[in-house]
Parts: sequence; C-alpha cells; structure tokens
Amino acid sequence: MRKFRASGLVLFGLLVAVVPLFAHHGITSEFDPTKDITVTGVLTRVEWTNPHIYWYVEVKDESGNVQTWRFQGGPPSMLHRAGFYKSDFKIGEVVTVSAKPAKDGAKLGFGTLIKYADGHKIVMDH
Amino acid sequence: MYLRSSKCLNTSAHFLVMLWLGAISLFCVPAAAQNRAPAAKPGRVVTSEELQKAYLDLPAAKLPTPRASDGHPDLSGFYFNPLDITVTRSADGNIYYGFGETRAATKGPVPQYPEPTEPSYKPEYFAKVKAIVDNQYGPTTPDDPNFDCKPSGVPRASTGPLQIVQTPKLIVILYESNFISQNFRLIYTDGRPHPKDMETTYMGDSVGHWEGDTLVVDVAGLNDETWLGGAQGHTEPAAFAEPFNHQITERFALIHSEQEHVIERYTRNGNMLVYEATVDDPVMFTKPWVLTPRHLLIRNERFLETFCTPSSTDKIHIQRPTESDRPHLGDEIFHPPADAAK
Repeated sequence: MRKFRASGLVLFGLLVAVVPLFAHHGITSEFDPTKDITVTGVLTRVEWTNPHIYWYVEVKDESGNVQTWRFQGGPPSMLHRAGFYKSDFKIGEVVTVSAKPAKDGAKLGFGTLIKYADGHKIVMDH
Repeated sequence: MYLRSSKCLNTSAHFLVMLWLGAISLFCVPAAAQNRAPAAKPGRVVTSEELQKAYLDLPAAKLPTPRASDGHPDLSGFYFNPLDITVTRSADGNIYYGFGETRAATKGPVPQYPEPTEPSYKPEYFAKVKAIVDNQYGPTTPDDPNFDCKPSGVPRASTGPLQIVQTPKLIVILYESNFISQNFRLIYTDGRPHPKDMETTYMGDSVGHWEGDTLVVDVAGLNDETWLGGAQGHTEPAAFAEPFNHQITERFALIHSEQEHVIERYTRNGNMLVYEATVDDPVMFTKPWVLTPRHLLIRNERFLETFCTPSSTDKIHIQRPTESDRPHLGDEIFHPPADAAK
C-alpha cells in the first residue's frame, strides 16, 4: 500500500509541477488556448458573478438569425480592486470580441480582446 | 499611466520611500510594497521556520496589535492578499488588463517555498482521493464542491479574504470568496459548548476561547460535502523580496467525513493575521493533519459582495482530461491575438 500511495504522489506531483501558480482555476480545462475566434455583435449584458464575470454578445449570422455568444473574464472582486469595472462594458454598443473557444463547441469563449466601434479596446492578457 | 492594484495610490518613488520608512500606515499601500520583507535568497528552497520568521518580520506584522475593551487582541478588520493583476488605461481610452504580468516579467530565480502539508489518509480513502485527482484537468475538476457553489467549509474558507467582527461574547467571520458566494460563521466566545442536538452543516458549529493572545476555535458538526483544500490557491503575502505574492494550494482533493473536527488558532500580529488549523478525521485520517499556516494582511478596503451560481462556474463545460491533453494540462497562457495592439 505504501507503494501505491507513493505512485499517487508522483503522478499528482507531475501535474502540479506544470501548473502556473495563478489562483484562477485551470481555464484550459474549458477553453482551447491554441485557437482564436472573433465575433462581432451587440454587447447586451454583463454578469458580475463569481468565480468569473461574463458578457453576452448578440451576433447576426448570414441569414439574419441572432445567436448569443457568452464570454468569460476574470474574478469580479479581483477585477474591481485592480481598477477594471462593470462600467467598462458599454451595453448596447457594437463590439468585436476575440476569445479562446470552449472545447465543447458551445457559443462560449474566454475573452482576450474587446474592440468598440469607436476604436477603443480592452486587452485582456492572462 | 500605470495603475497598480491599489487605486488610491498615486505611484511615485517618493511615496514608496515614505512607505518603507514607516511614515505612512497601511492605508492604500500596494500589495507589492506592503508585503515584502527584505530577506531575499533567490533560487533556494526556504525552510518552514525561515518562512514563519520572514512573515513575522513583515512591516505590517511589526505594527502594534490593537486591543479590544476586554483586553484581548482585537481581530476586527478586513484581511486580504491580492493577486498580481495590473490594469493600465491609456489616454485614448484603451484598457490593458494583465494577470500575472509582474510574475511573468521576473528575471532570475526567486526563493522557493516549501510544499504545503498533506493529510495522511487511510488506504481506502487515499484511493478515493487518487481517483478524483486522476480525473481532474490540471488544477481543475468539476468534482470540487466549489463548482456547485457550495460553501467552502472549514478550514478552506478561512484561507481566503475575510472580515472579522469581534464583540466580547461573539466573533463573526464574514467570508468574501474569490470563487463561491459570500458566507459567514458565528464563533461563540461566551463559554457555551457545542449543542447536543447538532445537525451537520457546511460551516459547522464554532465555539471559541482565548489562550493568551490567540483565539482558539473548536469546530464540529461539519457535513462531508466540502473539501479541506483543492484547486483554488490561497494567496500569501510575499514574505521575501520577490515582486509577487506567493500561492499555497494543497495538492489533493481533500475529502473528509462528518467526523471532521477542527481546532483553529487565530493570532493577530500588528496588521497580520496568522491562521493555523489542526484537522482530525478519525474515519479517514491516520493522524491529525496540521494545515500549512496562512497569513493574511489587513487591507483598508470594503468587503465586496460575491455571488456564485452553478452556471457561472461553467461546470458543464469543464472537460475531463484525455491522454492527448496531458502535455497541455495547466497551460494557462491566454494572450490576446497578436494584432491586439493595432
């Protein structure tokens, strides 16, 4: 049994060794860091929720159907204390969002860039 | 213009010098400056004893400890160690958000901290822990009760941001979580015992007393729907002179039974709270587990409301690892597209 315990420790030790020490949970379990997607639409809502904030973008496809995309950001209290606010999301404006897509194919991404129609942008580097 | 995590600080060398001279209180002090003790030994694994000494040598810990009217230390305050996040706003309205930028920019080796302690499980329960670990993706698993927004239990809850409100016969801890919803505990210090008809609950029943200047809390009646530690790291102050705060994360998906019994020790040194806990679980452990002590610094900030729903944890989108995922586990580099600067 001692041998079994040791093998478990080694296995998990290997996993831990490659995990950066950042506190947010492993976002690669949900999103593909090797891919980028970009969508353009109307920013309709922001959710200031734990453990991550979300914002929603309504995107019209080629046939005019509206699809809602959901994008994840950082933890709300950490964002707020760093000086990044809910009001930085301008509801009703047209935005182009770049993101790492969800691995399960959902209309969901981990946001890395928001560009507003007036040219200003929010760059999110994790 | 480069804004650090504390918005009320107009960064200037002069201010920082004043700060280091102790001329300014911990009001509005950025974490990077407040939390360091000048004892860097880059590239070396420090011992637990050295680490403890370094924490007690922090400028915040050297301040006088306030006293309550009954003579006991007054633990009241908001305790929180921030992460390394920077937000920069340019004159043309752009916002640059960086997570771990200082860390990434660090050149050369920094002191290596000891690994956190781990419980000693009986073989049948260690097998359960291992089964959870084998099925988690890097530091993440939807098996973690936090992904259902369940309360963190004890001692896990006290390793995060918290507000203590102290009265002579009752001490309240309000938890502002980085992951789940805000929560609280009542610690009765009027001499009453645990109730005889206690139901098991997420946060249990807490009764406390003072041993010298340390608040000792006995926690029982905990249900088995929480973990003792897990994926979400605790942020420690930077005890040595590296430019970022240190993270502690217990390795395991630490399960426990309803026989969990915790003795906590809360000690305030100046503006630093030392949190110690010994956890026993006669069902699952071979011996009591002594948690790696946590250190939290007082911050003059408001408690922020935090709320979590199962949909906001994205539990249904979390993937289980496959063999092909193994090389990528924990690869959390999420940069904006290369043309973001255009």
